Amino acid sequence: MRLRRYFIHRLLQVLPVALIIIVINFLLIHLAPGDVSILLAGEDADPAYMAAVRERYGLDKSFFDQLIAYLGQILQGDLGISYRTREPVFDVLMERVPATLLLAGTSLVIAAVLGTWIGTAIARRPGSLADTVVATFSISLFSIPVFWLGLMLILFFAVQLRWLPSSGMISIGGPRDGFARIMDIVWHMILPVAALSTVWLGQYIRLARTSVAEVLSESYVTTARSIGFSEPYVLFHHGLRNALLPIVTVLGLELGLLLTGAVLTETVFSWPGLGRLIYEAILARDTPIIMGAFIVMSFTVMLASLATDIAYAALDPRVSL
Amino acid sequence: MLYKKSVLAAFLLTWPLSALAQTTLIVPQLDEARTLSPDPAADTGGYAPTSNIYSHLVVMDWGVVAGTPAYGDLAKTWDISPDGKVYTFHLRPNVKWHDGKPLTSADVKFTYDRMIEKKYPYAAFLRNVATIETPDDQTVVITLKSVDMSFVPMMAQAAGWTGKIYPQHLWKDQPGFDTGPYVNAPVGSGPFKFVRWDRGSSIELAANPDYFLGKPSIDRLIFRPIPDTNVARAEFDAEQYPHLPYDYAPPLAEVAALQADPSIQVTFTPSHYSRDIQLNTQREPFSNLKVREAIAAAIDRDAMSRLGFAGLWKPAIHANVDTQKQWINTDVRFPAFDKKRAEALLDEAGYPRGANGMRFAAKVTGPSYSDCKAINEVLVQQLRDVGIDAKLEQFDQSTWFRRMQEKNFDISCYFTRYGPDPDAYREHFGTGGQRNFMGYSNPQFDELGARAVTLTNEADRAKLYKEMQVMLIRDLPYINLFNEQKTSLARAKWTGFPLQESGYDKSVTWFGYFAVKPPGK
Amino acid sequence: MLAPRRLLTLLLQNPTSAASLFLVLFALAIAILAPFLGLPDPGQMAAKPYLPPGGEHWLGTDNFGRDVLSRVIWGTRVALLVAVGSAALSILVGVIAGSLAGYYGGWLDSVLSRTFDVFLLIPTFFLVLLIVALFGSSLTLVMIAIALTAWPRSARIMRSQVLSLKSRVYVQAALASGASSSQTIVKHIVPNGIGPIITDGTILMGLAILTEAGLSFLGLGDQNSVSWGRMIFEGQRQLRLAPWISIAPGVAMLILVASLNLLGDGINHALNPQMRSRGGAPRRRPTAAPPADESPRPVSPIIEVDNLRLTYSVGTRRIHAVDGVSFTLPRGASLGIVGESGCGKSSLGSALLQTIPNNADFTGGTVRFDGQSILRDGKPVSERGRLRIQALRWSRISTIFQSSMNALNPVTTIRKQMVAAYRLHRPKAGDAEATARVAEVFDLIGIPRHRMNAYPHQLSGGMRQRTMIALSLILEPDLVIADEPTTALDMLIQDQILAEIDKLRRRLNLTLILVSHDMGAVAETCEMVAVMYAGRIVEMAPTAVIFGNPSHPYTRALIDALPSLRGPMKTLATLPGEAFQPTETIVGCRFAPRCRHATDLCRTEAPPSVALSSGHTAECHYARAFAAEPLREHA
Repeated sequence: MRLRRYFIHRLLQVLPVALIIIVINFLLIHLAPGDVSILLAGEDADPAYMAAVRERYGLDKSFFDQLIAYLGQILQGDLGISYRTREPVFDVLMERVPATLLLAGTSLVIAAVLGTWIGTAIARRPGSLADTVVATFSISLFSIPVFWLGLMLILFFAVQLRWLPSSGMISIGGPRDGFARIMDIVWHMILPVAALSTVWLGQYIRLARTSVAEVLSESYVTTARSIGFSEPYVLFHHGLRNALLPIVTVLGLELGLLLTGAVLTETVFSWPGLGRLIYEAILARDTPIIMGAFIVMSFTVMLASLATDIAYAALDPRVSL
Repeated sequence: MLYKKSVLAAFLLTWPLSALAQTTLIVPQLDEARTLSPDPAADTGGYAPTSNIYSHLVVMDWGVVAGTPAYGDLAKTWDISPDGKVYTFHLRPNVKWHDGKPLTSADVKFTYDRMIEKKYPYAAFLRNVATIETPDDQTVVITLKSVDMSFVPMMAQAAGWTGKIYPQHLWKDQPGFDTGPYVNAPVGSGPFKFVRWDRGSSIELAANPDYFLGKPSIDRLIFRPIPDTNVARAEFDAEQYPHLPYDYAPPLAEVAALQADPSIQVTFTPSHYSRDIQLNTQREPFSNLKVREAIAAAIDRDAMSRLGFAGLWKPAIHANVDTQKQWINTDVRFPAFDKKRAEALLDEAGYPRGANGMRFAAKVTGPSYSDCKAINEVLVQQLRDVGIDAKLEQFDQSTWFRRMQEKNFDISCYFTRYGPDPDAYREHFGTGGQRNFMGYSNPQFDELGARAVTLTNEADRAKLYKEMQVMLIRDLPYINLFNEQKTSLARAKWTGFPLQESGYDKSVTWFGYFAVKPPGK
Repeated sequence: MLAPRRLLTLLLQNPTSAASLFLVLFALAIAILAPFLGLPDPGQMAAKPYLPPGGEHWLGTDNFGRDVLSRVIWGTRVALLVAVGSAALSILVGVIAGSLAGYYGGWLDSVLSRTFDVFLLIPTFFLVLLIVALFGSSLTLVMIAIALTAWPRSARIMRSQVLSLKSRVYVQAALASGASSSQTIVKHIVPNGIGPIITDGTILMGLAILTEAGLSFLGLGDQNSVSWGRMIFEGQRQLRLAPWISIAPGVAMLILVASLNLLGDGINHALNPQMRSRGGAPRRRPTAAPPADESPRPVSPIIEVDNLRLTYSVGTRRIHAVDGVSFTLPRGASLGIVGESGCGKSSLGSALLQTIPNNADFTGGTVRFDGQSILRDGKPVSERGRLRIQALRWSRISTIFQSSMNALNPVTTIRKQMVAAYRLHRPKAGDAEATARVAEVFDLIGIPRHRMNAYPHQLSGGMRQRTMIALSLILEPDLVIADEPTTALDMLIQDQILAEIDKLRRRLNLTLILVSHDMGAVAETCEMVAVMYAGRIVEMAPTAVIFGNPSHPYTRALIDALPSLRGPMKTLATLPGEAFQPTETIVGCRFAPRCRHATDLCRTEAPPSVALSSGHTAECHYARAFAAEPLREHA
């Protein structure tokens, strides 16, 4: 009940953001050089299709009517038609979502768990040499251009050593189902996941270190120590438990940055996800796909921030709902 | 269904042994098919599967580069009336559709009539047709409105894309070739039968045992959309398929290493296209012949080939390509590389070097082919060397094409066609020609072109085309640079791939896999 | 805001920051000097293609025979141009928008703040990508697109800076003297608030470089400029043949971006030095073995403290917070320790429990608990690898913290916290037994049992403080150290709680040390009072004696400051000067600078501890004189 009211409240706050994202999109198409109908239908579209697109977006109506029509369509989940495949953009995007989720999710879990663990461990010794070294290291990690790291991994592990596949998600003509297929995918995932999680790792180390160190200076940690709890207990039950909240919040906020990394990584490794789709769409100037991807990404980030807020509310009894 | 799957699985597990009776060929292709009905609209992803399912009246494959502009597919032979207007095609006997029904001249007429009626793309190649008659089941007589020597070659080339013959008995009740149950479950008369289509993953065909040229050596033919060059290359390296089509060509600098590998065949296939640059003759300063001459003299094709193509592309110095042997005028050639002369010409033309060392600005654009990109990179440098302030201006393919049509460009990389019939010159350089983006207009040239296409004697035709080449090299609306060349890879001992010589005149279209033979067959 | 020179000094002191500053400046230098370095033209295709690094071409040549080193160096130009351009642009817009929002407030602020929030939720890279894909790619456009998505970052920072600066004296003064709003913003607010924006700016620059590279890598970069991202994009195809084409620009980018980020980090730490050392686990300290002659005496005082010293290190300064404190407390006694904040009373409390912060050290002293040494010559006593204090914590010595300071973990219920504490020391006890015990202490304190399932924030201040007391009693300790247990509660509740503590002490025969700045609170609860000043107990006596015969001028001042026997102490208005921080070597009496009665003797010679009556000592040269002069009765 409490959560539901909070959810609705937050949803109402987020809706204007959704609206603004759509309006930005709309304005960009109309401000861009070139005919809107060509942007949306593609250069080589036949006149009948072009007419259909004009009709669909109401391109002969007034600017304001067009905006309303556009808003209506997007809110119904209609993101237009890809002019490369002539399929609805929404379907094309959704088809690619699982692969991206698999790659980004796995990398996120690895980076978050490992990074939080290292960050927590290092938070015990703020200002020490180890702290300085880890801080420098983690900053260096997220300064690596992820696509370049991917290339270097391919160069070393796929081209030189020939240990791992360099691209794709499955072997052509590989096992079609069962455990063998899962292993095949895992095999292909190793390099992209390594690239992506390495770059993210730095963020998490830094975040966990700051948050845990902050919590460790709280009074209840002193209480716990006075009670006689062992240091690891204090660190994980009090330090980490309380630090998780800011960590989760920042996570939600930085999802956009994470998705950027995912897109570039997918491009390098030809991973058949959203990122790769965006890359292909750029090559083919499939504007509806690029716009649709922007909207879907924005909405994802928005919903993620909403979800983290809700999670925060559920985790932290102090949040007044 | 289950049976098929298990056969396939069993095959996949034991494939490297290749001792099994079943032979599967997996072919990667860049695009996924939109539909499996090829005639109504262009569909790059659909050409390969449908070319192996359907047959054509006449056809052309990579044999064109060895001098075969067209050969018969359903037509065993054809005669041309002395006045050059009436074409009589004699169909092969006993040709059957995949459903067992006989294929007759009525099917051909039905297909062509509908194409014309519906204005399908192939209609463009039938525009000169006056009547189509079917005196008997084995004969098609096509009468042209006027003599056109390019009729059969052009029909043969376009057949590979949108000129398949459809079965009348299945389609006559459909309003068009884009509706009905057979759009994505095609019934053809070609070497392979349609089996199934897993959208996004594969199109599977099986050998047609009753094919009129005999059962193909490949039992199962699978097309997979692999939009990614890296993936295709990695899979080829991992021996997932024995053939890497030219769309996925490796960087040419790697060829030396590949050629050293005894398990790989590297095939270079010339084509009837060139790589060249078009100059916008309607725009200053490219309207000035001296400037165009200077640009021609500023280009060092050898350096370009070395830098852009690891020295593997052959410079084209005539207004034609090497594969069109009988049509080339080898007496005239484009200006040779001479930097000093180029500079002198530019000075003469009234464009001395300015304070920054540059004479005038030029935007260099081109289609998004990797070879054109390489040419442009080098071209910009070579032009800058003579004081032309050249800058790259790359667009996506369709934007580029629109700008070309609008004549909104300075210099563009281009791919001029010279075959399968030399009438192609008119399309590229004739006044108002469809692909004459340069704005070149020469009444004399137009007159020669119009006459040449009506001459039935090849030697007489060649004379006129050679004269036209002299004009082109004199006026320089374009500068020829290279013979286009495709690079494809195949595993050792496989033969008959369309780009291999062993596949010439046997492949049935550019995309045909009928002639492919695995090692030991 | 630090002066630039001081900031530079601080940066150079830190090797990481110094190195990154050097690298950024180096990149800047080669970017500016690129045309004069005698390098081959980055576009020139003169050399053989695919030359590996070495010889004439240090980093090799690319597929067109262009010198990779030259291209990397010219690429530095593009990278820095994009970085500086987009950062400057976004800071400019951000500073303007942020200043306006923060300065004018009202609807303008709410509109602008909403806008910043919206932008936070937009995945910026995809917006930049969309802009560049729609409008075409040129360096200028890329910079504008990046700035367009990044300005709210700067704006948010600027807004909060303005909000905190607006009330500052000099801003108000400027406004009062008739300066216009815009003048005030430009002259006073922007220069003072821009520090954190510059810090963020370096990070923004790194981000801009990565964004441009990402775009170039997707094929959306400027075609006629040599950017690192484009080099990697083009090198990708040549990876098998000539990996150096893509390695070099990547390494260059990594170094520059990491340097920028590390520099930002360094500036941030220089501006907020406390950030780096906050928190942390207690560090290990040298320990001492128990004294050989230790033998439990049948009746010993519960706690004996002898010459205890505790020193904090803050930067290069050393503060002697506890500077030779000695006292002894019999079982069942109650001692109040009072003094101004900063006198060391809380440090004394944590020193007894050995929960001192990492920047504090025992510099001497001995503490015995129930006859056993737990601190010996400034070293915690350890026995068989385990600190003795560890065994005593909570089961024998517990504390009551000030509950308003988050002394209870906010994210778990009170029951869970108390059960965990109980089971820690009674490992055999089950959950049920522990919960029963929690209920027992709740009854004891008079908290309804069902409240144990509440979270700390769900309780009122008084209830929370009672819970803290219940927690301290759960293991029936001998000694309870209560550190300001009633601060921040209202008067009525304070009284109730103090009465509660007193009642429990008597009932459970606890020994109590009550640390407080409130003379009144101590007077009501404790039998003995110790007055602390600058790290030392300057007077100690039974409560009645302290109030009747205060024999130290500081004690007298404290009592004078009481409006009545109750109530929080106000500032010592009667005392000139500030509370004394015992940092340097002290000559004479440490109270002398603030003492109305100080003589030359006081200023030159440390006062002795004067024993006045049973249990009454005072550290004052004139203690006897004061003792003879009773204070007039209060209240």
